[in-house]
Amino acid sequence: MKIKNILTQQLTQCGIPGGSKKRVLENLSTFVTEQLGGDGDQAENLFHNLVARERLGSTGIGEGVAIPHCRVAGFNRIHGCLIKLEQAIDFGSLDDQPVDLIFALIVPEEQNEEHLATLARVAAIMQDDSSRMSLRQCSSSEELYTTALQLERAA
Amino acid sequence: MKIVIVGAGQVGGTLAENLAREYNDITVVDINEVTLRALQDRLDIRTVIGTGSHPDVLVNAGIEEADMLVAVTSSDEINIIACQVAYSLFHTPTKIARIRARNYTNPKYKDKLFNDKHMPVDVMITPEMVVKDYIQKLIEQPGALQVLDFADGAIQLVGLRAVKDSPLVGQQLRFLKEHMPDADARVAAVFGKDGAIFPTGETVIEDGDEVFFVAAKKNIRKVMSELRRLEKPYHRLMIAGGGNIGFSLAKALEKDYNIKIIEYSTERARHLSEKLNKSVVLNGSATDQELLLDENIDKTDVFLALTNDDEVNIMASLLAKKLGARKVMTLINNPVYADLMQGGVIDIAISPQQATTSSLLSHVRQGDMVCVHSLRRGAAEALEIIVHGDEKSSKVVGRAIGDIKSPPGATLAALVRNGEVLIAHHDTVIQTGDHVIVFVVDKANTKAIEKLFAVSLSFF
Repeated sequence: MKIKNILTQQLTQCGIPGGSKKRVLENLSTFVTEQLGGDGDQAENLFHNLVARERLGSTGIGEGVAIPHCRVAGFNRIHGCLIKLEQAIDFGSLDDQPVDLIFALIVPEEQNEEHLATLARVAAIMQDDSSRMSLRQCSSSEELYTTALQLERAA
Repeated sequence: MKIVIVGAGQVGGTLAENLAREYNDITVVDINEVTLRALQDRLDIRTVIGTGSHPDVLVNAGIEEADMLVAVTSSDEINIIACQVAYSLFHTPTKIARIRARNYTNPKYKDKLFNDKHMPVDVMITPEMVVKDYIQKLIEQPGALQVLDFADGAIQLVGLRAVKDSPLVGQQLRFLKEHMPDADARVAAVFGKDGAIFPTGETVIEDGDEVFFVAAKKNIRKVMSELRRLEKPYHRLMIAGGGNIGFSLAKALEKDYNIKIIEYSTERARHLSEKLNKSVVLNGSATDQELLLDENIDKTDVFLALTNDDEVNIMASLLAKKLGARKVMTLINNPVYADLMQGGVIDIAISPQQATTSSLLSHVRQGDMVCVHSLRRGAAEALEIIVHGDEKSSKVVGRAIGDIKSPPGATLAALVRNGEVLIAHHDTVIQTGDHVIVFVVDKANTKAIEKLFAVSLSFF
């Protein structure tokens, strides 16, 4: 599945305050469920599942990027959420570098194959040096969104 | 990890010290400024003065960013409320409370009370019970310096001192298998005169080495007999101090052992004699030579000094040993005293903080840890880890132990698969869902073990 099919302008945010990994995942869960018309319970679930997934191994892939992801009940398709943090945070990444670019993937419970391809696609883009540089140069959410779509076209 | 600790008493203080050494970001909250200042002088931590269950105080302590709250004040109620506040207002992922009152932890009420709908405490710890369990296992395995349970007690890790003239001492480790073809065991670590030795088939165990091995619980005594002359099971125990630990230990053991319990306070002694059935309760002082002699200290298998005073415990133990007690085990809070006394006249120095810290470590470690035990005064660690992922997303699934590049000083010692104990050999293949018992000689390598067992990005 392509980035443009999973990411929307509403779910792209530039300049979000950092705080800590917990804080970022918590804010992200609330933000995503609110944008998608979910309720507090759903936000709670999403947060819980993201934290549980991180506990088994950090999704910080290095070079300041993290791709937190999990399955959650109540969603009918894959949603992406792209965030550029104001201050980088410790994410327990493989290279121990703090993270400022986050591309979260929220996957419906019954997904089996498609999400892996989507994850690989997102990871490939985020692993590219010049992609990260252009994302980091963005100063507004709109710019971040259009840049992300352009990067996919270029990839 | 960002951790807020509420309560700077003995448990909170030791925990802060242990966790701060591991690059965690620690804030300690207490109402007592003097205690906090003393901690802060010693450790690289932040402190906040205030009542740890008040939301504002917790916010000051950074609860909004924190991954974990550990509430260990002397008040069960403050600890529970702190967890409730952390859950309701701040979504703190892991909430741990010290709960001493047995009434709260009574199985009749516990599960209904403590859950996310009611009182959101994820982990309850009762230091007195942790210490009691710890001592109970030592009593049940005579000759062991330390006994730790894994997989609900199916596997045990035993530490002991090897003594010359036993079958395996002076021999290479590979003879163990020849000696005991049907009792599978694995030596996880050997601490000799020159420090830790990473055990291989050629390692030779010397007299006086401290040896740690894992085996199924039923085989423990057999393996121990290879390393030192087997001791007769204990029968007669004398406990000095009828506080929570002494009382619950007597209660747990009185049907299988002859127990005498010495308690200084008349009132407490009366209470004990009402609550205990078979144990003999003596009202008096643990350092009263006449009393010990009258009560046949020389025929006592184990003298346990469990009062809340280190000095009393040490003096009583020295006296008991001199008067003929076969073994003495001594509760020592002060780590300096513990180091000083262990292995001399005192056979086993028990550190309540180390036992308690152990029970909390599994929640600080990355990965699906069932338990983490801290050994050798915190230098070494033994972990039980649940394996997740598949051959693609895990570095261990589908691989034989011999092919796994484990970090230096770490031994993958045993597995539990569907309740069955498998002692690890080089051709044992790890599957997802296995519980793996790992021994880490130097705690500094635990991080590498966490990484080895971590799932990769593609795991959902």
